[in-house]
Amino acid sequence: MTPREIIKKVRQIEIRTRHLVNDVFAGEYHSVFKGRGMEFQEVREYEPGDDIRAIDWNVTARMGHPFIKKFSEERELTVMLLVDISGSNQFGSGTQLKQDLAAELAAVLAFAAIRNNDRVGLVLFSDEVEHYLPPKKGSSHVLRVVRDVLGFKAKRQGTALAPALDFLNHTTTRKTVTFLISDFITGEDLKAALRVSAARHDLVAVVTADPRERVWPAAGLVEWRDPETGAGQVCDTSDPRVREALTQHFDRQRTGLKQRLARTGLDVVEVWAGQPYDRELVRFFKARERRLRT
Amino acid sequence: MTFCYPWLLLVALLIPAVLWLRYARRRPPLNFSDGARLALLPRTWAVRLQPALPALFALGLLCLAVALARPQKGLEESRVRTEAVDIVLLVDVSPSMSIPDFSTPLRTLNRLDAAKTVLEKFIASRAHDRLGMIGFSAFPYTLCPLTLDHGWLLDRMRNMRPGMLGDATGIGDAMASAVNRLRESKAKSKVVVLLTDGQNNCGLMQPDIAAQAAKALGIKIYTVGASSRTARGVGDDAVDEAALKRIASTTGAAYFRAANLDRMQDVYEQIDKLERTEIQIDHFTRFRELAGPWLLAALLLLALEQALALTRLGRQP
Repeated sequence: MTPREIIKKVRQIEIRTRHLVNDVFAGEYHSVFKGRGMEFQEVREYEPGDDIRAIDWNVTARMGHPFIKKFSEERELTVMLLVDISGSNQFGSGTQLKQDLAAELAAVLAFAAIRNNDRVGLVLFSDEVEHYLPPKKGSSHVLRVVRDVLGFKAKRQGTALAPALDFLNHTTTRKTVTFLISDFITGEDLKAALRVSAARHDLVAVVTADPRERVWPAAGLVEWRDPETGAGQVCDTSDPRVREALTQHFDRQRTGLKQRLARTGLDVVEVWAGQPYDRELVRFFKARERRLRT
Repeated sequence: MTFCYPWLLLVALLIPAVLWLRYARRRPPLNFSDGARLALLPRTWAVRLQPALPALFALGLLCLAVALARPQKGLEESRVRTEAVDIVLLVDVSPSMSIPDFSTPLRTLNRLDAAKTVLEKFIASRAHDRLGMIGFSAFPYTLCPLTLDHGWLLDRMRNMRPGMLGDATGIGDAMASAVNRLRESKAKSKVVVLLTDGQNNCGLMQPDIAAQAAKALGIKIYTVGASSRTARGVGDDAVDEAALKRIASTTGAAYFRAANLDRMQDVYEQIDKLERTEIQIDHFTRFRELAGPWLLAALLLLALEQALALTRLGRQP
């Protein structure tokens, strides 16, 4: 994509997601991640210019001159977006590649975070960390995030989540809300890396998939290539047994993945390329809110 | 099976290139995110049959290359160019030819029958030359003009009877007639074989003059005297050896004396050999073209490949 195309796409996504961010789940986002309100930090001496409403009268009375309460903005949290840009995301049956879906989701989440004055950071990874944007505030920064997630070209094809999670653990000092946007097509054992990250951060797995990864139409012989390994394979989609096997295999794998993610304490959002994801996000936020309340 | 243009078989060397163009240089395969999942899918017969397509295609092209090289089969009967030698057989049918002095102890055989026996073999041995036959006594009669249809010639010869053309011997006229028959001939070698048992005693043309005419036209006249009796001094019946020798030498041929059947046989065999050595024979074989079945096979194979590639074995993208 040329820079011009990328900017155009950023605008498109901004416009498309504005409604989503401002109206549909603005409140959800707020309540899910900001439920704890202001946090008391310290009491210090009043200085001219301070809001007099912040004066702590009890302390003032005890000490004889004015003191104010200082609160830290607990709301000011950090949202990290870990986006998988490995070869397997270069797949899409409709108008949208999985990569595009991931980018759009990242954009939506980034806009939502910025609207709530959160800091947004970005990690793009394949089988290594390819690109890192440190968390920052501001609408120009969020546009940068969106631009990078749309336009970055992966140097490597493979998929490995563990290096990205390790990188996250090493670079962040505070607790973050981290969205791990990936198709989770990887042979590695994620348990250890996920457990460490989930303990430190509020980790949400966004699992992307394409409908054609699960169900094939009968379209004769199709030659496929795995973009990560380069291995070719001819499959007979006209044979019902083949299609059946594909669906079964996908469902089995998906069930297993969800179980594993849930066991490590992650929230899971499933999104499909070419299909609306807003409802899925809202449902996720609602469910999370419900869980936090109880 | 031979090839008319064997070097065109080299076209077959291009087949790998064509295969590459058709199969290797196709659009790149579609990406599928999870190759491990694909490997688990069952392999159906259509997938297993995939290598058959290039094989069919290559085979079709091979057949096409073979057809292009024009395979052909030479027919068993090869033909000699008919213009090689033209031979007119001059046969004396005067009544004296019925004298049975070619008899063996076992059977009686008159001169003409002996001549027929020998001529049959001669004709059989000259299967590729145009032969004609002129019978003569008082006047010449063309039994058969120059022809390759030797069956008909033999038929005509068998119908010859002594005395069928009067009671005299017009050798000069007969020679003139034979020379006339050969005048238009374009053969490399023009030959008359004159068989007689008498001497010229009638007719307008003197044998020597006819011989001169033959010489002028490049016609050789072999002369055969057919009589078991010694020639000289037996009157009308005797062979005029001197005249026959003269004729032969004038035209650059030879005179032979055939006193009995074996001798006559020898004489004609000799003539046969003499003429054969001088003739340059142009062989040309008639071929049966065999490209058709190859072409058909090629078309069928290529059509089959195309049909399969467009239907069940067709591959996306």
